[in-house]
Amino acid sequence: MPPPLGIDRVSYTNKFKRRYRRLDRRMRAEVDTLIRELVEDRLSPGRNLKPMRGHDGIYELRVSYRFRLTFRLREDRVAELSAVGPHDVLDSPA
Amino acid sequence: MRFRPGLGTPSALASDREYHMSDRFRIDTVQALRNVSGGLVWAAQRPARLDLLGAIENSVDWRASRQRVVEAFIDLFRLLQADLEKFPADLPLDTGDDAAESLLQAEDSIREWHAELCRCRESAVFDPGLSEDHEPSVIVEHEKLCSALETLHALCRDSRWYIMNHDARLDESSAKAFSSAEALIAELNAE
Repeated sequence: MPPPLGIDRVSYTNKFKRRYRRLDRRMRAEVDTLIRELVEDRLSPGRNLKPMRGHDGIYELRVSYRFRLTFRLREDRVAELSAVGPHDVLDSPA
Repeated sequence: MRFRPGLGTPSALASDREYHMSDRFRIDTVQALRNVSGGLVWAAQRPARLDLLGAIENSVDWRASRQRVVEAFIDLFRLLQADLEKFPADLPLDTGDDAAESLLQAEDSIREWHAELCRCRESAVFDPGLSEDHEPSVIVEHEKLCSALETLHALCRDSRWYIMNHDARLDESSAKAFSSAEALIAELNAE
């Protein structure tokens, strides 16, 4: 299990909401599942929770193999959803 | 009156100068990212106009020139990424909210180009017309370009995420923080 971050509540930024609303129905459902895990503090190891390089206090989570969500952990223990989008990795030819 | 960067009009106040330097920095770096992304989309569309078999036959020369173009983009992106990381935390990078979109388009184009190269490589591997002398060099050239495109794609993606996360700190937060996931999801789906 990833280390607990001590999140009390979850909020979001306006841009996060805009990006969320641009997702298709299937991806939105996957993000919703992740939000439930985050709010209920039961993130699975597969979510690969880790701090973002170059941004203090911002963490990234895996929505799916090629999709990520980031949030900022504020001082008041509120996790503010920051960004969501593709995080594609090109595979080398076999 | 606000002085536009690049017009060479000196500001009398030091604080103004600092402000304009920051402003200029933002415009130059993000504008450069937009332009480079546009250039990438253009460059990535070129191979689609070439006949695949012809491309394989002329592969070594053609690939080598594309390799140089991609490596130039990689160098450019590394410079721009270093600039992004020096940018003041209290100023937004993507004021028009379109730099991230441009980068995403560039990533899509690179992915298509990469997929096509993988198909070309596969054709070369199984092409009976290619002699044993030619086949290894054709395949190696394809693989080198594929690898450069993978690097370039990662640089675009990381720049996009950097910009999104940088600007998220300055973006307005929802009025309410939620302890219920269902209430939060309902709010995200509300108009």
